[in-house]
Amino acid sequence: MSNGIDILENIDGQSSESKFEPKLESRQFWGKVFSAFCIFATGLGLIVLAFLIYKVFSDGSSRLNGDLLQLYPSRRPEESGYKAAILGSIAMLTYVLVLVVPLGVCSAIYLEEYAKKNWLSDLIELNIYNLAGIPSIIYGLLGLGLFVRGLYSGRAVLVTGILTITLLILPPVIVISREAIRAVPQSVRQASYGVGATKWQTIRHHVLPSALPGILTAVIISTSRGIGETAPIVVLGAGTVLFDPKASPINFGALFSGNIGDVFTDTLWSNDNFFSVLPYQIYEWVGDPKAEFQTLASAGIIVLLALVLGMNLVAIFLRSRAK
Amino acid sequence: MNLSSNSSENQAILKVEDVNVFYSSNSPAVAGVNLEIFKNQITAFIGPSGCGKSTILRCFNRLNDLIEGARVKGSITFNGHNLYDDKIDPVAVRRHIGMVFQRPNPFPKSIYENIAFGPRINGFKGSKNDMADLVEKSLRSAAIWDEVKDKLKESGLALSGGQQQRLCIARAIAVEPQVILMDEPCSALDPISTLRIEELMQELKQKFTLVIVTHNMQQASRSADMTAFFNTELSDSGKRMGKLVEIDRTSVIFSSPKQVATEEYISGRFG
Repeated sequence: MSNGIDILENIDGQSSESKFEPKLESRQFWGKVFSAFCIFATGLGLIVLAFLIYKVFSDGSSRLNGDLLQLYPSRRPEESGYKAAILGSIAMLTYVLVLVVPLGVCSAIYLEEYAKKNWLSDLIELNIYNLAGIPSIIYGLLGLGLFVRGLYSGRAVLVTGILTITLLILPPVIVISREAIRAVPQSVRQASYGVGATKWQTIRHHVLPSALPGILTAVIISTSRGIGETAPIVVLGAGTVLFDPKASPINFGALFSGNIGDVFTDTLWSNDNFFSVLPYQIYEWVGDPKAEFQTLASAGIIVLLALVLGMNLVAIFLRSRAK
Repeated sequence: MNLSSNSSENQAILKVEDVNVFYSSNSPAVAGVNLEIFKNQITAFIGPSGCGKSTILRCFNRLNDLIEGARVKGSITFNGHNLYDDKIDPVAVRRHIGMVFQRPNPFPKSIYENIAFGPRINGFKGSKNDMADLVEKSLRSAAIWDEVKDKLKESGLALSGGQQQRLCIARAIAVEPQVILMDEPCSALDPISTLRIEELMQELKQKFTLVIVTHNMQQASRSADMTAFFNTELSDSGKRMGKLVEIDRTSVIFSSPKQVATEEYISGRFG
């Protein structure tokens, strides 16, 4: 077919009277144009990513050493590091996952499996889609009003950051998880009900396992974005800190020594638990006129990339086990 | 208990009285159905598309409850209990009245798990060995044991279509139902697989009562003891709805039906 001549039509001997004008050459041509564009589109993304990684590594590799992970920010770039920011980001990532997985997945299950379809469910659906598209800086303002001012009387502590990022990524987690749940064939649900399973048993043993790869994708993509967000953190009023965040929900030292009154002192919930996260610290230093700080920012980007790519690797591993 | 098929005609295990089924509108999808299903027999529902035969079948295990807006009026009794009584949990009904679907739908799990799931969620009290025995017994009853005994850990989806359907029958048997509903169980299968399922049905009716919906009239005449013919009619408001035209012994339906519509349908003049 590559030469574009329709041999079969010519053998017929009636090609002049045919009702068809196959134009094979041009039809095949447009197919090739399309596939070439698809290759170009994929390649473009890869090239940009490769260039980005190369640039960041060549800028920041000189600061990529143990000091980076052990030092706190300082006025002198050679004495500065990301310890507080890395620990802040990891603590935030952990708690965001703890909140977003049950809340997001259960909302998706409710909307897909339990909710009656009526005007109210349509309204909720529309709003969740809208919420998924609201700029992150707006969530920063929401967090500032609700959590920083409302819960912690103006102090931008780690809890307020966790709650804000959780709110930010809940809508996309719900939307993508719903798609995954909806893609589970109805025949599997019917088979389960058919042998006398309850709704919960059907969801637990068939719907969730089948939807798990899609749900993992939802959680990982959204959390990766959330952990790289700078704008809402800036709006909350978080700043540079020179100490590690307190990440434990209760004070085990106080608990085991019998000081029950102190179990919540110096914990995640404390109102002096100020925090920094990687994207914020990078943002601070990338704007500094000193070239050394910009090198430091590049090194920070490498660490952030490693964190996010590491998370994606875990997700790919879990997904391949779930299949 | 009398196991022979023709002497238990007076034992109606399911009784349908004045049943109307509605799907989210006020005009019934199927109306005024009265029939009886007899123990250890195969009852076939035949009729053109949209005549309500599948709808009635799905009333027996309350599967229509899963469709939003579906309502059933009238009474369906199972061993004397009204299946639509408020005190009846549809989940309990479905263990006693099992179902095999049109398209084979094994769970995307191992062959063993496909069978063990039903007993497990219904609180099977036996040991691990008892469960293995039950799985074997169910697979044997569905005439598929010899084909799968060496690959119980492999996915049920790796089997051929006909094998998958027999796996689904084994899955239904495993929870020891009294009735097995089959909704066009062979319509997605080749003729040889179809024949095997039909042979299997003859064995199954020794222990179970079978109700089968089929578009294949040869299948009904070959397999069924009783045959019910459903048809569509225009209601007073001009909407299409299903009606039971007649139900009788299969030999009577296919040789000397009482209704003209049945005669026309089975002789292929319409439908």
